[in-house]
Amino acid sequence: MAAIQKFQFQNSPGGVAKLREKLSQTLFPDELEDATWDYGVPLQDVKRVAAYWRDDFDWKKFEDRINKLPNYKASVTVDGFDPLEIHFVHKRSSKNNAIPLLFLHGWPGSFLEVEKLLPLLINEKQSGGASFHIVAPSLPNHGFSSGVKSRGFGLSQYSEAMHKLMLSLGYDQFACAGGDWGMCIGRVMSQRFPTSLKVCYYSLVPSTPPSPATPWTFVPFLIKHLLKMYTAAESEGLARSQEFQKTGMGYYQLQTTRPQTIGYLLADSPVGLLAWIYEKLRDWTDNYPWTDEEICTWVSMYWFSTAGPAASVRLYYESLRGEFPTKSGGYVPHVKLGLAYFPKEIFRLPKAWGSSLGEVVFEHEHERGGHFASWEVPEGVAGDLQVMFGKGGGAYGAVKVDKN
Amino acid sequence: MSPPTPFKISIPESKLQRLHQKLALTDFPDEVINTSNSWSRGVPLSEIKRLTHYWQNSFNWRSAEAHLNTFPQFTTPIEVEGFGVYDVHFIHQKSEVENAIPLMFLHGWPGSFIEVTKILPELVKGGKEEEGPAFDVVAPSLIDFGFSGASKKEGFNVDQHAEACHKLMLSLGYSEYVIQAGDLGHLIARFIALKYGPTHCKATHLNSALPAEPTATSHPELYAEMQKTPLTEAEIAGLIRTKAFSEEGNGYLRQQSTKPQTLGYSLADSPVGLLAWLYEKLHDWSDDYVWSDDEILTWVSIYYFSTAGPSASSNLYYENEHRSPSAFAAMQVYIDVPLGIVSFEKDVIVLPKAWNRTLGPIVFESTYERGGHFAAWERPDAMVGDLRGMFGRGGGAEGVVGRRGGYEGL
Repeated sequence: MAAIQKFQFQNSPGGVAKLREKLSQTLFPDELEDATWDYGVPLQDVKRVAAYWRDDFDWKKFEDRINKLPNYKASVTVDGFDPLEIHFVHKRSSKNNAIPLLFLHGWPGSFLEVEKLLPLLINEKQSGGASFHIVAPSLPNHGFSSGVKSRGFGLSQYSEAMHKLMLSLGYDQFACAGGDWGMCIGRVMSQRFPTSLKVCYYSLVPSTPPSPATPWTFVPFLIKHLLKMYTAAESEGLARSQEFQKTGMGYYQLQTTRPQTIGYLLADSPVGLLAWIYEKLRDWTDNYPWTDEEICTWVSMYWFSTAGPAASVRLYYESLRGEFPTKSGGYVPHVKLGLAYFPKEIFRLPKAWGSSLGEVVFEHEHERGGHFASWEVPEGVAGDLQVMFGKGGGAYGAVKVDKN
Repeated sequence: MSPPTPFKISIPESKLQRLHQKLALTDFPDEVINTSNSWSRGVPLSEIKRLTHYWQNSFNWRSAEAHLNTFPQFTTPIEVEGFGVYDVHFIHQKSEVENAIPLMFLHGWPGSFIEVTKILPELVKGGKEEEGPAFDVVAPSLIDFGFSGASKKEGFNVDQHAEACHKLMLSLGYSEYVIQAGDLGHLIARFIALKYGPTHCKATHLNSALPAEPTATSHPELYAEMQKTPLTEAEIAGLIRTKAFSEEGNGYLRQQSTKPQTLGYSLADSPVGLLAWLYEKLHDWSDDYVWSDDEILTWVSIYYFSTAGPSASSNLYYENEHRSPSAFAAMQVYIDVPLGIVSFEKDVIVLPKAWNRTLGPIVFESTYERGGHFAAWERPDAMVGDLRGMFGRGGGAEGVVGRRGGYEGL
């Protein structure tokens, strides 16, 4: 059993002082006249947030906000690697037979994305709704978990680490919820540990078009595609997905091929890191009104992460390699799926394609929200989970909880 | 038109001090240990630390500056239609030979006008029959690079760069000229040939060539011929290199052509970040060239101290991509201006020779086993030899510039 300890986050006064000094020494680039967000984050926005970060960001509040959550650390050893310290939030329901739910963040997010969900999911008063024990870790190389020093720590290793964490907490069976890397790790965990992971909820749906090998789905797909019989939301989603491929993949191409080079840029310039992340917070969301405080909170989570900001992009490089690269899996049997479609996700594909991923027991097309659904529309995500796992829901009873 | 203003690079002391302040504050990332290929994920940490230390403690910018200033430099205002007047910085060295051939050298990224400095001293020589032709050499900093002004406006595309470079030559009294170029410079050269050739631009010698693959429908005769001749081993190796580049060597291109401003914050604010960004390519794109720390830091300093700032150099990548058709597609047409193509086997994109015939009338061709992307820097001997061969006696572009054949006497 992995040793589990309570964890209290503390700001580093020296770190904050150095950050402020670097922010004061910032050399800003120019900008083309009338430049829009098309070229990247506009200069006035970066300057504004940088000044706020230096002068007005409340570091005590940042610390308190993290420490309000029940934080722990556990030692987890993945085969072939040195032991890692995994940080996680662990909030148990008062109901013993609640469903263990592993909430996995992605990039450029963090465990803090669970913050708004917790009060919505640990609300015991609703009848018919499900109850959850929630585990929200910092992924290795992110947040307050260890960095990984050796090569080859890919999606398979991430999934193994998360699986071992859940087992160490006494959860032999559990469900998983996530988007971005959280979804990818969920997919690999589903392939590696189907006796433990019984249900996945994805807010980013990596479906592929049906192939001629499955004629029952292929023929309707072909008809729909040729006759352009997608719903307005689906057509918009397809166009958005294509646009993202065309104009939004620079970071991805860099991080999957030259993570060390981009690492120097992100580790040395706070404003550089700020712009790198802020661009995604804006481009990948549904007009979410990010406050400067929120932006700085998210960026500080990377600037002051245990492993440092450069470490977080290494998963991109590793994700193309190893036993379970990103695109692997296809139809994954044995694990029930809940799929949530958000209009401003980076890719949003037609609903019918979801069946390419596995047994879909729940589906919801949301009217609002984007890539950071748990942050943008937490009530939507919480509602999905409660319906899906509650009485009459498609995943009801799928996770055996009598051992809890 | 007023004569160009003589120019000497003189970076203010305050900028040097600021740089040193920033270097002293550097935060380095750690590194994943990968013993088989330490460059596979980007520049190794040991390299960056060594160079940062050298930059802080030993690198003498004033000495590099003084060396650059031994080349005669000028600035001149050039008007670009629809955009305004730009200060263009350039080296201009005239040969002692009166009829020297006017040659414009166009750099690329992450290069600069410095790339001409190894070949220039040889090119201005010659002029006797046995020596080969002499050249007058003009080597500008492209707008948004080096010590030329910033483009400042959206839409300043390869067309505008071509116009500016062409007008520069005219302003120097060269109404007919030839061009040597690679990388971004070669794109601009193609547009100059397209728009201003063969009246003004009489020939181009390119060390990058990006032809489209001939198909049975696009080039039936050439295609039929190609079917009869198998690819050489070197050509197959070139295609493999090209594939590797397009799969894992083009992250910088994807970023610069889609979100240049986001990238720009790091490039402007972190000297070590800029160093890594550029040095990765100096290493990856050259053929075992032993870059000295002084060379690396001089090349990087030209970006760091550039007039437009280090992030401006991404602009052309963005504009190229957003041009319709893209700049790359637009110049894959047959341009009827004499063309010389040199291919270095260790360059990043190396395409089969036959494809080059889709680009124009090939009057000179050469291939070198040794040498990569920075041809004039890695193989100055080859470049000088090529230019003398192409433009000298018996060369495919002999006498293209009517009254300026490059030889003494007539």
